[in-house]
Amino acid sequence: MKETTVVIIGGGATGAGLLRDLSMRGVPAVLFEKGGLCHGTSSRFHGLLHSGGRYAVSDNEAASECIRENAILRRIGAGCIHETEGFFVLTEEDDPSYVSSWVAGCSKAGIEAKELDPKEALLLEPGLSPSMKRVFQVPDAAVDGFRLVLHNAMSAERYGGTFYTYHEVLGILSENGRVTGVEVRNTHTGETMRIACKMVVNAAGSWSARVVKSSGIHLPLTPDKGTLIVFNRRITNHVVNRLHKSGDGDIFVPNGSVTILGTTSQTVDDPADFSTTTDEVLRLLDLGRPLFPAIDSYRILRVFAGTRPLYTPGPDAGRAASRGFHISDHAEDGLSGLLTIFGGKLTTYRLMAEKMADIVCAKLGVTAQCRTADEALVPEPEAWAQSSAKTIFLPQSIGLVADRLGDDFVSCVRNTECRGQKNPMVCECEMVSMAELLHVASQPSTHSLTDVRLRTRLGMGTCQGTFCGLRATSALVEHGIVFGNPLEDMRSFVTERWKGTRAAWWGQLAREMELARVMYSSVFDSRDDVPAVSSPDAVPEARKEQVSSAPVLSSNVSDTVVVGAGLSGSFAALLAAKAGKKVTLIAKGAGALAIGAATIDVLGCTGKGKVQGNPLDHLGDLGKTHPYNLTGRQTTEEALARFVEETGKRGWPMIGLDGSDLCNHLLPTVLGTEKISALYPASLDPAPLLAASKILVCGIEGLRDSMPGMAVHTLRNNPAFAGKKIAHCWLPTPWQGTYRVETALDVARALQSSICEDFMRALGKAAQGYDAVLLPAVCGIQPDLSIWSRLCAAAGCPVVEMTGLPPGVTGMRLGKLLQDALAGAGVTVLENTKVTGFEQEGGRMTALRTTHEDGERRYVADQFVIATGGIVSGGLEIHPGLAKDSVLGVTTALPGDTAKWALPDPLGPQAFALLGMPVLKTLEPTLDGQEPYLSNVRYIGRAIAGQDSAFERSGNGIAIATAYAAVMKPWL
Amino acid sequence: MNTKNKKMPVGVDPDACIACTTCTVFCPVAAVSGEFLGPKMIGPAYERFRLSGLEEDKSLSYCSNCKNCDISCPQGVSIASINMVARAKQYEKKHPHFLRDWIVSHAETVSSLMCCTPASLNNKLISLPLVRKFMDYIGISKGAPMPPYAAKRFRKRIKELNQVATGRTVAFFPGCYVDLYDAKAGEDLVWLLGKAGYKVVIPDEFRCCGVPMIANGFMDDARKNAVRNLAAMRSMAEQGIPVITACPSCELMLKEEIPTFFPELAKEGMPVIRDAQEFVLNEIHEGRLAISLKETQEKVIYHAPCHMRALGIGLPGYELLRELGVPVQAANAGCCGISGSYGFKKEKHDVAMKVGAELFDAVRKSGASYAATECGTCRLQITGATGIPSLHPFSLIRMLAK
Repeated sequence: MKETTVVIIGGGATGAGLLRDLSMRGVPAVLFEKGGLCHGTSSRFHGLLHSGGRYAVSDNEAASECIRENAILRRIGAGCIHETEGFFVLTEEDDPSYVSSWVAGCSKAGIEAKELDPKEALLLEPGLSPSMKRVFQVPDAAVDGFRLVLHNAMSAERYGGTFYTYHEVLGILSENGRVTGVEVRNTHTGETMRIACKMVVNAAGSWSARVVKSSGIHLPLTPDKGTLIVFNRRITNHVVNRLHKSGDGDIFVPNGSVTILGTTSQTVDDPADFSTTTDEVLRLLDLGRPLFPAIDSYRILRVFAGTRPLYTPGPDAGRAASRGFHISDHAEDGLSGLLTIFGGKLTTYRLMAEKMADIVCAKLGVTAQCRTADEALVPEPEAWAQSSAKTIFLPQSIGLVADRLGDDFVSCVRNTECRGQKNPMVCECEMVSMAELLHVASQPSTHSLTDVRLRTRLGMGTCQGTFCGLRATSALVEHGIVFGNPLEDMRSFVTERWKGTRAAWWGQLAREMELARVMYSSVFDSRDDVPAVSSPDAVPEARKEQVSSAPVLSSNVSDTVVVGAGLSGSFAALLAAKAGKKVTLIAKGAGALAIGAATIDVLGCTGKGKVQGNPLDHLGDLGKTHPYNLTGRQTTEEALARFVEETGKRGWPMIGLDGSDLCNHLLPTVLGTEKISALYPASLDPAPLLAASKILVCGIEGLRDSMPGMAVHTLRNNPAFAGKKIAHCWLPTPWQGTYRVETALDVARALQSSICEDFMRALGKAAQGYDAVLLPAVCGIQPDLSIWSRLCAAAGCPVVEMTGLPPGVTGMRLGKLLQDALAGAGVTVLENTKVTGFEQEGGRMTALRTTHEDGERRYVADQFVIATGGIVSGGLEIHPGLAKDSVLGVTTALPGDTAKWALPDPLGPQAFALLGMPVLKTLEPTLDGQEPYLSNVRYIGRAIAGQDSAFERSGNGIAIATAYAAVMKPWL
Repeated sequence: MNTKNKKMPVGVDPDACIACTTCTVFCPVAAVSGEFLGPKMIGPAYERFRLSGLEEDKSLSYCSNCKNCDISCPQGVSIASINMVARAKQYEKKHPHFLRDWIVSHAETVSSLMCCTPASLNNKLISLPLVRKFMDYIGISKGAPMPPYAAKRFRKRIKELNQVATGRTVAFFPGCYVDLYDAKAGEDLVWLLGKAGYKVVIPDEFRCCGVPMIANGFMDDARKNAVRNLAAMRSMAEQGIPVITACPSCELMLKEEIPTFFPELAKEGMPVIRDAQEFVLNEIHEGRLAISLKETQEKVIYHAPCHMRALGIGLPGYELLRELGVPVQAANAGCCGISGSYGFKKEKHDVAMKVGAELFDAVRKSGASYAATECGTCRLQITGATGIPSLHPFSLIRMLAK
């Protein structure tokens, strides 16, 4: 049995601080944490390093503790702390008489509170309310809780301390009323072990009561849940507090690249109750608005919650309960050698640890004094490491990386093999590079992508792991770091990211996460046997006002106006123009083709397993109002045939038909997974792979988005590839870039514009002896097969492109084909133009309107085709409690709690996805399901309600079927 | 770390970006240069780091402000404007090529300094090897075509033109290119609007719109000009005189960029400026202007300037040519590369030429005798690269008029 002197339970700030303190005093100590480091409350707060100002009136002693510790932590924890300083702002809604007692309290506690002219404060923080009354500056700061805990643990290790993460303490062992040790279980392996010790310190925070419960001890502890909002960027560079009696939602903390608003306060039973609700989010926004009037325009990144371990010996709970800390010596409960420390705040963690260590040392007869306030947590990296780092990382990111890695920075710099172009950014939103990823992932305490995230902030920025989750997973497998089943690990990583967005599912967050779902659906297998979901209860309503009174500058007359330049809009415009109509296409952006794969996914998943054979045989599994069931099978077949004809005529045919029937195929992705699709260009044809007995997967140097080792790993586990020899290799890049990270698009452009002999030769050499070669989508950017044919010739065997992350090179080719076709057909394309209104007369639309700085422009036509897309493109806007069509302004009330329709599984069917414009069989919009709302308007593509195209893998098929129906069907 | 208190930049909100990378696909600079991080990365993604105090990335200067990112963005993020504000802040600390950047962005002031000598002499001076050598030394590319000065600035020339007073007046914002170099295009506009019964005036207060200043980090200068221009435009509005411009970049500045960069100037609403091409087209539609052109076999290729496309009002210049029966065909070949002052810069000239390569190719292969485009520097670039004369659509119309 292992042995130590002190066992610490809980890897939060207090536990890690205590481990450091005891280790520095020479007391052998071991820390056990049931999750990862900082799994509990120390990372689940707003990241405020208190000046004490918040407690100046209510608890002056706590306030003076805060300001002393604040000064110490700035000194010892520079890598964890942003010295932002803080404001206390008296808003119009606050009681001005509170100020004098607050100022007196600050002065008593020794907190320097300097009054600023509100105008000066507004210059420093333009987002603050211009109507604020008074502003005081105090020495608040921002602290990264996770990093603080990590740096404490690292410091402790340097002094001989040990910590075990993912080790749960099952019980405290005792003999004759004295602690003798603990029994712990490794939560990954399930192995249990016993450690003998003289003392146990319970620092499990909100879980403390549970830890000692099995020893028959009751602790007066109440978990108190606080919910917080993370905004996408720094909306303030200062901590901003409301100057009033502490309440909910009154602190904004700029933390790294984001801002956190907190918090609520609610007594809960379960310390792990991290649930969040829309009501809490809306309430926090309401509370924050007096400080930041534009709060509703700030994009929410996610919402999270933590539980405070409040010490509640008396009747007070919540805000009234003390924020002071408490130490219980359980000798009083009949078990000597067991102590619990709880309550308190992160700002005073070091002091708490010091007090605890003093008691422990007194009992052990150790006389060494506390030194934790005298020495930095992490020594300044040596000069050579700093300068060597410049050859590895983006120079301006070195500070970020050094702070994140702490002690590991030097070893990462020394050992990494990723330098210059070999160290691409993996997470662009938070600047996490390959070197940092691999270094952290290879640490023994890292067991998952989520562990990597906590240490590096990978996946914690704008895209919430959508891009980097895929890149990181592939990169780790490529480098032999495999966390169980890598695809499952990635799945749990993205699901965890998704979870934090569900309570605030509107605005840009909704667009981002729906984009994420579309991307996941192109690389993850479909979910089998999932229950169908129904659309949120919703009744559409027409909007009241439709036309602005601004002057009309011009009227443009066409036969048909199409809104939207994606696949459905472009195809509809092309068909109409070819039918002899004068067509105007109005486009707000470039459409989604440039980021998609341009494979025509007709129907891949209905929740009853992968759809095999002819996808149109499965339309019965879809709802009655599903777009396919409106257009009907025959029209869908005609539409797809016409699409094949149009692409074929232009030298870039779509293939995949089984005779004249549709048939689903499985196309390889860069992860080695399979994307279900019915039509695709020849370069994506998977047939050669199935016929081959030896397959080579090629990576291209510098191309981080396609790691051949990952694809090989997945393919080897695919029964359909059993018995095949599958290998991988790296080819030199034909791209000349030296600074930006290479994408498949860069390689495709290089291959398009020059001969690239070296590349071709390398491909030929590598492909010798293989029957098929898998390449990222790099076969040129033009919609023709010339580059692909050259590559096939160079390889001496069929080359198959793998679909992957945006930019979608194959999608660009289709986009270019359609753009050229539209120009050839004489379609007028209006770019960068957003429709803002319409005119109607007698149940028909007479014109669309666009609003500009100089006035309004009218677009008059007989027929209007709306192809504005869904949530991602903003064709359908999601607001709290409301969905709104961007053209007609038809609104649909949604159940207030967004988590009711933004369901837990991002890879499963989603209720919100069924939202859209309800249409009749004629694709005319309808409010009552019976009569057309406007009889000469047709909705097509993702804009139509009743489809979950991401889950169904049906987006492009629906786009083509409905575009064709809208333009070609006789009821027009 | 220790990011000390800093004044919060009045930047452009990056929050709408969903990282979809559409802009990266459509960025003409990223397409030809691996030295540029690309619009998403240097724009909204980097802005989050700028706000948290991180040093600027070295590739920011590669953004040419052509706005193809904004045009392609499905989310409406003003990516190029994020870059321009960031660049101005970067140059506040240290402005490499300060002299060069000042010269290429203050053409109006430079020309005023040379006003005592006649344009013809100045043009000879500029082409002297020694002068080109000096220009090269300060960072102006030897390969860039220099626009020759017009014999007389258009704002002076217009006063000599014999305009018949009809009671209908329109104010013309000439922009530096027409004012200093292509006065002929201005005369052609006066001719065309004269046929519709308008007298064209140029208020003396009009100054450079400020687009080149913004692109080169001189935000204060751009703001000063904006104040003057807005005042003059408001005064025209009070007199009931419509203001028009034939330059898409000036138009973009006077419509959209001023409220973006200097919101305080737009607090009480912006005075209206209209697109001259659309204005003329409307005059035709309203029956106030009739033009008939000679039969011609000579083909014309039309290039849509990026800033014209960014305006979101379609391509009225192209429509105008089509309606009048000019045998015109759209090039549909992307950015010409010059982006105002960008292509004049020694270290960017190659990038500019590579960006324009597809367009040059399309122009050459079209068999057209003329290229038509509204933007002055696009004309300069197309002619410089292909040798094919490039004209403003108005000039072309006048040339082909019966």
